[in-house]
Amino acid sequence: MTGSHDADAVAVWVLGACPPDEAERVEAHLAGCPSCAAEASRLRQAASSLGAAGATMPPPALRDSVLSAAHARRRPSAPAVSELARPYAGQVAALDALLSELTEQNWVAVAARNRTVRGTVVHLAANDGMVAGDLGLGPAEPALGVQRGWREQAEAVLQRLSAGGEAMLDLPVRLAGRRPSRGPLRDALVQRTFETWIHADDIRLALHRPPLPPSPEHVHLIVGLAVRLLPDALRGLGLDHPGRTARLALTGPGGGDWLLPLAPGGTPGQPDVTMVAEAVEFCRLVADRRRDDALGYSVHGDAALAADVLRAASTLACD
Amino acid sequence: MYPGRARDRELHERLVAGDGTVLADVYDDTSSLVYGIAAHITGDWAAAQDITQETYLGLWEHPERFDPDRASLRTWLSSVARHRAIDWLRRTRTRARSAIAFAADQPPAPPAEEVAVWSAVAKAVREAVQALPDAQRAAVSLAYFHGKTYRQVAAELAIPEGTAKSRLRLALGNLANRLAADGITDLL
Repeated sequence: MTGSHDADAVAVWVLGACPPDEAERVEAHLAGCPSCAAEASRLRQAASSLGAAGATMPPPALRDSVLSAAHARRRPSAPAVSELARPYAGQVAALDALLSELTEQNWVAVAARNRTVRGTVVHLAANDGMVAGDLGLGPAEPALGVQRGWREQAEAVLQRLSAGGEAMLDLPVRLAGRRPSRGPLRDALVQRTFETWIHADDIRLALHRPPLPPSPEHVHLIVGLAVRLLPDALRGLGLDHPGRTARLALTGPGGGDWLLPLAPGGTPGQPDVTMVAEAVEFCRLVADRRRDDALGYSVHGDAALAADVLRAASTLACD
Repeated sequence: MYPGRARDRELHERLVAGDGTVLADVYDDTSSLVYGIAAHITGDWAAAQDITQETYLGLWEHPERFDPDRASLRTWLSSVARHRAIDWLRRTRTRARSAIAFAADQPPAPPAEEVAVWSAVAKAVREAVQALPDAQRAAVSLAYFHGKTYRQVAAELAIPEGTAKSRLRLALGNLANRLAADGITDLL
């Protein structure tokens, strides 16, 4: 802790009513003193209430003028873009908040795949960098450090997205995975959101914190992507079954029903096997964060087909 | 942490994602607050409109500057509007009313069409401000609405600097206590 507790100085600082050198002293003190920081937060609410006392409806015409000026300076995303960009923005904000709380020791804790927490973020930023690079964005400035470098790159992708239109979602970019592949940006965004969540959970696990599942809409998008990628993954492993179909009956938040042709280019028919599992657990399996035998699922029909599907699903992981 | 954080996080995500309807939602929730601050500080309707517009343009163009984990959107927008208004005041210096007369003023009453919950909040805050001892109200108004430093507050009120500082602390502390007792801080 720097300096002494000085309640008057804190109040004056909250009001922005002290000269810069005094403000710096108060800020240095607040950074190391939770009780003064709590008092500052309490007084800041009181200060902003002074503004609320004068709440006044602006002239009605101002609303249109503000909205049209804003949308002229930064074009809103097409609805389809914002539907994909929003979950990604949410995961980026959640991971950034998590990283901001870490101690130096936390950064070197060992997480999944024997990576440190720092190594996990470096790995994530490298995979993000494939999409950023394919969109023509330069690599993050190394001097920013691991957390800011990762975040600024992710934010640059989001900004580029919201500036582009819906057609941008069809741009081919590299997808992360054990085998090199390309796909449309719309798939890459779902994958970025997915990977950001999985690595945030890796970090939570390493720090003995509870996992945080993504929103149901996001879970639904991930399952949809996995279902699209699975026929090729089955073929890649030599486990494809032309003419046969699996049904995924996924329960819980983000769940639903999917029919999956078990070979590339096939059209789904009557299901030969039905697999019932929780949607979030299925996503974890796709990330290879659960062993097949640990996935709480039940199979109705041809059990050998189900085992092939699960094996192929776990090879879609990004690492 | 503040109670509306989940909603503010959602608004932040939508802003970052460039959602075409989010700014209208934010504006409808907060414009009476932002405009009220700008109008109150500048005392100039045209300037208040410009400041309101620039405040929302800043949020839309740089949503990353707002961090929902540090402060609520209302608190953040209030602070941006206040700083812009005080900058305007310092640039123009054409304000005719004397600061001391202003400091004793009641904030203006919101119009009837104000959202019900906001009327209740504004009314409670006005009562809390009115309940402050005159000396504290004068000091905090000079600092908050006029952007005066505690040294300038001391000079204008002809009191020692240490007294100015402690009056500012007492004023904010009394406001915080009274609003907490009324359950009002949750909405800010």
